[in-house]
Amino acid sequence: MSLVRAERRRFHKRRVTKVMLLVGVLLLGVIATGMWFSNHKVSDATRARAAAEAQRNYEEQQRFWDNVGRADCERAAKERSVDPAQMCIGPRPEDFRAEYYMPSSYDFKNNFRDMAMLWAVIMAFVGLIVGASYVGAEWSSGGMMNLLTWQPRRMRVLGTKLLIAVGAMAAWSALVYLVWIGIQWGIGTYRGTTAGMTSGTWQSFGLVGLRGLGLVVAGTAFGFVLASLGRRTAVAMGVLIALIVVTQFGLTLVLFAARVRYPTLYFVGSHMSAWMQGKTTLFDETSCDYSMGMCEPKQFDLTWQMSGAVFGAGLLLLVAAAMWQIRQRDVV
Amino acid sequence: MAAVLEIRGLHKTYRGAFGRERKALDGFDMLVEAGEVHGFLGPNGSGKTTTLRTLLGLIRPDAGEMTVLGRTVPQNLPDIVAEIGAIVESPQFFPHFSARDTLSLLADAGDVAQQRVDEVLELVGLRDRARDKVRTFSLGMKQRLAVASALLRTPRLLILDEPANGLDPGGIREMRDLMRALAANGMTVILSSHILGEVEQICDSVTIISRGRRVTAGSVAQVLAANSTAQTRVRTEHPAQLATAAGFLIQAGATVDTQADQLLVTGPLKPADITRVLAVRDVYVSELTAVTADLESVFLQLTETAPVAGQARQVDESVVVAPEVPA
Repeated sequence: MSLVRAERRRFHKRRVTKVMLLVGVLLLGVIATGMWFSNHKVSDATRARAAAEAQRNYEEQQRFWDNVGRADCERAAKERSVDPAQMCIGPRPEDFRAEYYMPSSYDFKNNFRDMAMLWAVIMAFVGLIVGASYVGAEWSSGGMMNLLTWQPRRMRVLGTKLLIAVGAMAAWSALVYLVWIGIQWGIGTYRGTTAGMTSGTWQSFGLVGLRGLGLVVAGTAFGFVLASLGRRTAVAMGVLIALIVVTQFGLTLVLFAARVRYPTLYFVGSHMSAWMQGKTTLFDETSCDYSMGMCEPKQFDLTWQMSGAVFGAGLLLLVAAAMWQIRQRDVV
Repeated sequence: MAAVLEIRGLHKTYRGAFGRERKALDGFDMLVEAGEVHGFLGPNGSGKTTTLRTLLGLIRPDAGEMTVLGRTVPQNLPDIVAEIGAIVESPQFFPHFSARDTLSLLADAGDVAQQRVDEVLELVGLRDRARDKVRTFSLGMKQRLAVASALLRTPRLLILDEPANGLDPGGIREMRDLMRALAANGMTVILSSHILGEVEQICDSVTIISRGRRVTAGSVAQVLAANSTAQTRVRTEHPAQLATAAGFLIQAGATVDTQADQLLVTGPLKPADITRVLAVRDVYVSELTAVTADLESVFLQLTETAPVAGQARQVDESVVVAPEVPA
């Protein structure tokens, strides 16, 4: 327990931990501020104004159509030998709905999942940097060597550090999530609507939050393990950049060129989306020959359970490699 | 006296890229008795730090046996680590933590009472800088902090690698006094240092290592005596008489090394005999001194690392002794 206490203190004393948590909170704050100013409460008067604006626009377009548009269109149809009745339809009232003229309004029930995704991605990124720096700086500053002369059980030391990093990041992220829900609720109340919330919706938000915490844990552990394997923070950052460049850009070219089925299945983003949204639908464009006309490509539902298994297996493998390495490799 | 540390036949080879190998330890032996201050000496790259890191479980040896405080290491290191305090090579701390935080975190990790942190800060003279960040510390101050961290657990065995590095003259003396006081209280201290004058003053015994093998070991007095040449330095009233005096002494059976301003006399003649031999021939001695070897000259002689004019000695150019045959 003493090692846990020491590592918990060390984690929270670190400047990178404080700064990155602050950066994460500030980013969410900027997003919330933007949402506050770009959304508006919809009242009966707003709806009436929007309906009037829609009607005015429709009439304006209709006038233009009657005066100039119809004649031009019929002439063009004639030139192309097309039936004017099919080609020259003119403005339709259903294209001028009142909601198209309403100011943006935040619907808490329907939009919060996207906001939860944003929270999870930001906190996972913060976790990745904090996790990598927490162990990477220890290795490069010699602090790890010092600690190992006090606690020679290497795997226990690394395991404790990993648990502290993911545990603390999960705890902080959970706290931020609760505040984030409160802020979003406030924006919904004053700049949109919170209508339609049921206990089932709240439960669903809870599950989204739990999956978001899973993403934070995965991000933190990923950064930690990479920095531990490379014994430098920079290694984790380098691998991250390489992953983005090689897999997400290079892989895109290769997979599409090779006409691989469901190429987006190999992208981290697809799995993150499936994990957070519950599922994401992938399309197999290779199943279609568009030269033969319209085609509905084959679909594949990537579920959060599948993506969870992929993330879990990858992390397990990396953690096992880091544990094996610290047990075997000399500390010089 | 019981052995606090015993190393037998320690081997360690570093393997680099492309199969390159470098033997850091090649059958190294070492013995340190309880309650003594033991000097661990050797040229750069001779294997000192590898030995200390291996003892502390940071490096895995290829072969050999190590016993610390009566327990085999590294297997039993977790059981005895609380009784070992160590600083290995240059002091390394997280630069953005204060001295107190650094020690306090170590104390937490090792189940040491926080009150001990203030005690050791006082002991190493950092009481008034305890709240300052380590990055503002000079090398000497970091060194003091490192010693403080090693003393935090009141160890039975203290391992110090170059503790006087960067210390001011007052700090060196304080460190010397501290080590004497610790040894007087029953602590065993292993001191690796290149400041041989200090080692000679502080240490009861020494081990000298070169190219991963033990060159010599024993009490400081024994090592000095075993490697002294029993020479007598002779200077005459008139330097012009040195050549004549050398001739008389050789006639009397001595071996004489004639230098520009002195003679170094070895052989059966005692100082009184030298005075008599020369005085009866009207050559009068102005200085007659027994040349005693110091640890530095013994070290340079044994490790064959004495500088040679016009030659730049490379690291690893030191003596290779024959492997010791197990008793």
